[in-house]
Amino acid sequence: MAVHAGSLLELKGIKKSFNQNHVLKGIDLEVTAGEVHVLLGENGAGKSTLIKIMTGAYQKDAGEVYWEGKQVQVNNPVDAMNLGIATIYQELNVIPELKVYENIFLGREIKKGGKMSMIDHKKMKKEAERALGMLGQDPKIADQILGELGIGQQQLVEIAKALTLDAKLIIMDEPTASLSGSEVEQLYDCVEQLTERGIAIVFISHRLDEIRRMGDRITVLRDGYKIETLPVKTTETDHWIELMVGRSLDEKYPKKSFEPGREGFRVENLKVAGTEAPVDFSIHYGEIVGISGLVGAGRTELARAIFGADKREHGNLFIDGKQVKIKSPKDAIKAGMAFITEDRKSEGLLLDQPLDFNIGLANMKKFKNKSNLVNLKGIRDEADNYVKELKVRPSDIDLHARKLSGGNQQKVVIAKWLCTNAKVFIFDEPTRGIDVGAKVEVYRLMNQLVDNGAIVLMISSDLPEILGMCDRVLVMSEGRITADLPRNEATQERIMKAATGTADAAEKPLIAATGG
Amino acid sequence: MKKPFKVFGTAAILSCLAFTAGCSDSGEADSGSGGNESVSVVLKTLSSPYWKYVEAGALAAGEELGVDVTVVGPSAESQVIEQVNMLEDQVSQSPGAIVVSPSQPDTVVPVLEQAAQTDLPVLLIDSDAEFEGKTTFIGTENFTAGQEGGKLLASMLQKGDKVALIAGALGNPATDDRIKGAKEALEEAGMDVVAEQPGDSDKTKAMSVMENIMEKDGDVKGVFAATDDMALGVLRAVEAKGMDTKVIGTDGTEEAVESILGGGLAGTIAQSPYNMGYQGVENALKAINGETVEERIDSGIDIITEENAQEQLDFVKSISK
Amino acid sequence: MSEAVIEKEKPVGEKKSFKHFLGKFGALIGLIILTVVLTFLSDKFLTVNNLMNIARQSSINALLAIGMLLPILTAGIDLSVGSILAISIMTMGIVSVNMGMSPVLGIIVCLAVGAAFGLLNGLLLTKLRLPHPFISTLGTMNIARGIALIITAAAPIAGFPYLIQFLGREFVGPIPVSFLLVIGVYIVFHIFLTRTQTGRYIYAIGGNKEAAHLSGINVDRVLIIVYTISGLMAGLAGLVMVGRVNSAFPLAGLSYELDAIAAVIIGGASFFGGVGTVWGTLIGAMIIAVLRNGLNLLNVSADFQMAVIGIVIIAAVYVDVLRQRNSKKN
Repeated sequence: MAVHAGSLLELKGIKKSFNQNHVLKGIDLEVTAGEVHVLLGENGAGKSTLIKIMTGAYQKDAGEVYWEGKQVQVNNPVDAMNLGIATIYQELNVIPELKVYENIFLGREIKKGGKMSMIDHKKMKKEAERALGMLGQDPKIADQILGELGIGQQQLVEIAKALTLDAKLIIMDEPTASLSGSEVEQLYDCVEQLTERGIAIVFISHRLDEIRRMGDRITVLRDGYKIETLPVKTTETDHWIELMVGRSLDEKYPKKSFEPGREGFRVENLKVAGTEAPVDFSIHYGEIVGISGLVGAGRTELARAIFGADKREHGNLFIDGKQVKIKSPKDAIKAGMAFITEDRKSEGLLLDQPLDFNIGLANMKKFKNKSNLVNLKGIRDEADNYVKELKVRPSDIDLHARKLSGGNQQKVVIAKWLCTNAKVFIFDEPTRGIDVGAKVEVYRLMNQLVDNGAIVLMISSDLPEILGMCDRVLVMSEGRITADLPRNEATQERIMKAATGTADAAEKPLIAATGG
Repeated sequence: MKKPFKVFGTAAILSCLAFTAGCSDSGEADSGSGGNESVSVVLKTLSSPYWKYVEAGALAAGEELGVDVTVVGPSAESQVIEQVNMLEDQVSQSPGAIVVSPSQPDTVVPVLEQAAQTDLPVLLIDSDAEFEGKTTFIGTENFTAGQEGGKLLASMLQKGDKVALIAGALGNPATDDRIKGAKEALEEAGMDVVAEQPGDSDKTKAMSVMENIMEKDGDVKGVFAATDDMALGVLRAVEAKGMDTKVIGTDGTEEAVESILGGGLAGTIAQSPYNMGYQGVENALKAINGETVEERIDSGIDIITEENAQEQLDFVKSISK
Repeated sequence: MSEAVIEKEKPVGEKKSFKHFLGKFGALIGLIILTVVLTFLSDKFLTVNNLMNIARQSSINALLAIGMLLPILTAGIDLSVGSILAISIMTMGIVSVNMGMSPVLGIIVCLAVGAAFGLLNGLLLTKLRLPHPFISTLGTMNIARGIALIITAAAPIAGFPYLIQFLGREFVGPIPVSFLLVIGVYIVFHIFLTRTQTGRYIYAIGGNKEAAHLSGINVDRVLIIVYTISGLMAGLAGLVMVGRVNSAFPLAGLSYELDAIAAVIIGGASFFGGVGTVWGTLIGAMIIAVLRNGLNLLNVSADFQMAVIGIVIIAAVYVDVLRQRNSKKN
């Protein structure tokens, strides 16, 4: 079979299974030089596995790989590297204590002479500067300690490393997942620079807006099959989603409006240690309040301080008008609060414990019998109910949390908090890294909570999500609330202005924002 | 994925056992012979030259007298309970007699009492225990050995000279008795005992202890150490300072005797570990055969100085092969 | 409630697979194999008398190991148990032998001193915020041993009253009381760890300290309890030891923490916390005891025994590593 002229990498009929689990069932994929090719699919569709086969981390069971028209075998990561395939993983593969250029040349240091000779720092620095310059970065950072840079710049350092390797294809696994707004912009610029040089990019992302902005072509995977490859420019986002989930989603944001009720939760004069000004806000029954802002605006810190996880200098909290004393998460839970944390794996779950253990954890008291022992059956029954109700897949409560996909892990975390019969729910980035289908389920659950008389506060960096789901948006910048926008007045532009502090938004956001 | 672990685990354990079982054969004489003609010897440890001499003596007696001798001991003298376990495991194999040298004398008494119920002869060597049913105790009078060491040291010094004593691990009765004996002799001879510190029967520890003593007391003219290993450590510290301090050890190990020959140590009080082992088995056999055994047997000491060091060295070498 | 569900999702792993079975019973299989092999190698091994010897010989380490399980479950460690054992029995000796006071008081003092040093470990870790229990317990390991030597001038104490010796020395029929004690203690620990709130919190803290904290668990309080119990078990192990050898000496329990750690790890507990069971630990302790006893019966020298136990530790943990690596793939 003839291969296209511009084809850089071509995969044909790739199959892969683990035990009895067929993850890839015959995938075809073609990447041309200089394009940004997006892999789209729900969690478990096979994207990560496919990438790992490209990079040699996994071995394919069947199929063929062509590189620049010639059939090749990629048996290990070194083979891939030699071909010119570089990978930027979500978890960065860097050593924060070393300098930037040392990281770039880690494990392949340039020597002055033979194998045993001294390392040529000068040359390494120069090469690193050149690569950073190609990405539009200040070459001077080559000499900085990597850990002092932001996550975004650290990622760019990894890309620079790929450049020094003469990579022709760079694979990025959710590159923007942990970046702030300006960092994302930098990455976009950088990708542009790369494609202009004829370097191809393959990337995985769940952010559809970002795909529209960066991508040239999309290949949609579902359930181990390739569904279709289509151009980004001429197709609708909704069509992508349809292909991805195999049917049309009624709405991406199933927002329901409820009758606004009385004030249910109030934060008064709360000062997080290390910030300059105190914070005040309140939430009414029947509304979902969102907190928007840039990464580092102090949103998570505020949530942790409210929940008693971190110390606060002062501040009062009221639930239903009654003051509650919260000095620790234990107090917060007792007062009826729940905190669905940003990072499921490091803050939410016990990965090596079964689902029922996780779900019962925050409210063990509920399951104590007369002799003060824990009623294991009670926990199992309750966990089983939640797992069914929230449609956790697989629905086996004996499974360890580690085995679940991101979306299903998030459901388990939510189940844990539902189990505490909490009244005030704080969601911190509840849909980060989970697929569209699961996102919609989380949104519906929020609706249901509000409907059942709970208070919902959602921190999110995903602007469309904030705009789509919230009745009111608080915007934070540098630890302060710089805007409080009702749904009908919240626009992307106003929020960004308040978040970056470019407008005099602090006092009268509505007036300041009307003109722009 | 496959099942490498099970296979691996099983193989590992089996091969370990096969390996160690193979190793054990060499230590044992053929065990098929006469039913009760076997003696189990449980020592404080087998990992120091001193106890190797005891083992050599016991095995030599076994060979000469035609007794099946098993010698065991934990990996270190501090493994007290481990020694008790070993003793228990030997008793459970019902040997003809047990020869034991307890690290902590009281600890073996409960097991020995149990053993005595079956009329098993029990002989103690090197260190005694308060066990009524014992057949005999064979060992050096540690106090006397210390006394002789003290006298020897005093004979090399002037009245009023500063001397130091290096004891074994705190609470070790054997080394404590030696120190007591040496102290008495030294004080009687008018020496000035400026320091008495534990060196834990360890060369390195003794060396640093000595360094500290010299730092504090300056011109120490003589040192008595409760073991040879410690004496050699002390000697190293003294030589590093370029001082001419007389150092006397106890035990008479090969290394110590060689040091004496080379002009290092001034002398050592040699116990007869080999004799202890030999006499232990010899008397165990007597007990098995119903002959009377003396209640206390002195295994004797030798004062080793430059004059008789060569003789001692030849002897030590002949048994340590 | 929502139709937006992934319809065709596959179960990620088969639940009751062979791997699962091996993960749960790997150590037990090892123990059984060991027993069978030793039975063939020595005719003295599989006798009632010898099995009772093993039961008794394993009891001290079994008690230390079950105490050690708790810190290891919380991703910590307790290096001080051997030294705590020593100071507990020396103070008991001073009270009940040297001062001639009541044996009951002596037993209480023994356990209380153990618990107090455990409490000290817990406080050092949580209140002084020392970075890792390795450090705080390394400190108390030396402190306790030092005090044990000082207060007794390094002399052993013998001649304990019968009541104190009871646990370590008596038999019910052919079965040593100390082993019955071990079984009883293990049952209590099993219930404690699986059925009480604090027990489950211990697993939670080891699995994910931050998640546990945010789930309303008072982490410091649980850690203090954990180390106190570990110290208490060291005291109890000391009591058994005194009964067994009718004497207390200040170097007792030297390096026992290592055997206890080995038992816990051979029993399948993870050094990273959150994983490990009471019965696994018992099997781990039995494997060590059976191995030592068997090698003694075969007259294998102590030096070889050390090497063999080292190999068993590495093999056991390697099996565990393979198992985990397999379960994490996918």
